[in-house]
Amino acid sequence: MHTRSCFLAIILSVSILGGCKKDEEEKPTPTPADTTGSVAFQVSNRIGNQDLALGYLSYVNAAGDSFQVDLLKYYISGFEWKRADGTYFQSKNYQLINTSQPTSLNFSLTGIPNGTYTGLRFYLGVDSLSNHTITNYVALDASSGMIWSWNTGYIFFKHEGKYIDSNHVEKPLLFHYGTDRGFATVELPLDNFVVNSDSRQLNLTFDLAALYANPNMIDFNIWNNNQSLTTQEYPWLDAMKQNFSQSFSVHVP
Amino acid sequence: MLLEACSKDESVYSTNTENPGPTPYNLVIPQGLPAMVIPADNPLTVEGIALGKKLFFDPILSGDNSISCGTCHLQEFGFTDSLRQFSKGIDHIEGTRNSMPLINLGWERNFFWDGGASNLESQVAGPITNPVEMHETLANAVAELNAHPEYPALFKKAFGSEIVNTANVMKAIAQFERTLISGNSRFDKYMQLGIPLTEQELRGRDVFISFFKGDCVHCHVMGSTFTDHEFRNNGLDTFSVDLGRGRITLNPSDNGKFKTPGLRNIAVTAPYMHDGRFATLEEVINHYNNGIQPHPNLDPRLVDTQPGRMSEQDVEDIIAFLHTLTDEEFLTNPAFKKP
Repeated sequence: MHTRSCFLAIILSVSILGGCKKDEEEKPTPTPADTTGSVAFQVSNRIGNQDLALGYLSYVNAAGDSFQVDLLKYYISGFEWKRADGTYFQSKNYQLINTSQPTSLNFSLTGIPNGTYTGLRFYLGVDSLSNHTITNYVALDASSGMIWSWNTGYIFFKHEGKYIDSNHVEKPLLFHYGTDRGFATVELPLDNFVVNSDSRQLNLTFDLAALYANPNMIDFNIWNNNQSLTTQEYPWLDAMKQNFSQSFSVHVP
Repeated sequence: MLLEACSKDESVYSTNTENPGPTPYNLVIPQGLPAMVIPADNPLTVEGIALGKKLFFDPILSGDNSISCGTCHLQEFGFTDSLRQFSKGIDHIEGTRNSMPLINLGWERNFFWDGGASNLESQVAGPITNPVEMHETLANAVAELNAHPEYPALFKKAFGSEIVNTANVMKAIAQFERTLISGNSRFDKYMQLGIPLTEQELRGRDVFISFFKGDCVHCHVMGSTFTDHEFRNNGLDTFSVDLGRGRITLNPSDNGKFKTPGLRNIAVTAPYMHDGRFATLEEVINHYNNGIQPHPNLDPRLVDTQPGRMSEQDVEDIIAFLHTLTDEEFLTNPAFKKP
């Protein structure tokens, strides 16, 4: 009996010691560092060929309305890398782009398997799995002002500012775009973009002029105060959704 | 050697216990209520509940730090706002719906009268940010909590980080709200322990159940939480100014539907209905007895009810029965009291 408990004690101690030793000498788990790479994104927000600047009533949309941007924020998420065989690798990520916060314009995706990619797909908005609870963290933190609090969900895109209506009167402009219906796919081609163990860079450009022009004209005399949450908003929501897929472009610097 | 190794190991272990995680909270579910499903990412802890309670009663979450959740959700009224039809926010503006009771929320799946919040945590953001309620931005509320002398340490105890974020504010309040369980009314004592109800109360129970009289059980399921957790149009108006559930689903067939409320402590949660239009239980029962208005979305069960099917005696008896759902222990529980 006594011998057996001694024996147990020894086994126990040895295993504890073993455990300690292992901890001390622990090598980093063999992350597939050599087999994956990272891509650093630089986001530019533009209106046609001009850089977007906040607070100037100096832009003109395709419908001929002069307008101003005081606030522009949007979510892009769920980046997927297209392989030559048509399959995708998913980089799970949510990124809140805020034109008044330069740090939000730079982000990196890591752990992308080395290889050659022929396309990049991502989404304007937040997927339905995360869109019905607002207790998410980091980019999806509810305090970022991008939620509807009485109808749980994220505002995917916000443009607040002014426009000059057809009677030359200055009016407020407010677009709060979202809901599962508005979750928009953006699919961009890449010219055999190689990811290797080194960090690569991509410049992602969002063009607000394109958003209000292609393929659907967004005339501020018709649409100027839209918040997505009623069926009356469907024509605007659906038009914007189509346009979002035509508003981004990607370039290798 | 071996002993040394062991004691050394123990001492390592005991240093680790200097920063233990939060203490799991053992939620006691009264007999007669089902098991509560608690979200895996927000388990109940002693520290989380205590923090949630402090936040619930702290005006720091409102725009001018003048009102808290507890201002319009008073324990003695089943966590509704006394006898007010519409509560007033920090700007003294009334809302358009009656303050809801906060009772047995852990069994609900949608929150607000229209179910606009899909979980208890997300619900928290509604009243804080609503301009006619606490009228505060989440960013401001979180900044104030981070600058507070006590809160960062309390958040660390509850969630492991002293940096306050919105998600943890919502989680803490939801934890406290899940403990607001009522299941020890005279009705429960009758069901579980056989402590008798009066003859009138038992008659009222029978009218409550009877298909040809009250048929209240059709939606206010007998026992448990006394609700079917559905949204229903109970014939208040021929035209719904407040779209209710329809505002959320955007489905016209949901217009004028509102959450079926639970009935526990119903005698102390007056006034009644989503807009608090009925001041007394008598008015409520009279509505179901005589006042059902036609509406395209009227609940099918109410379409073919016979007006005047309940006698005056039946109405008095139902009300007597409803009073047996008052849970004095819940209404005075020191664990829920404003500190």
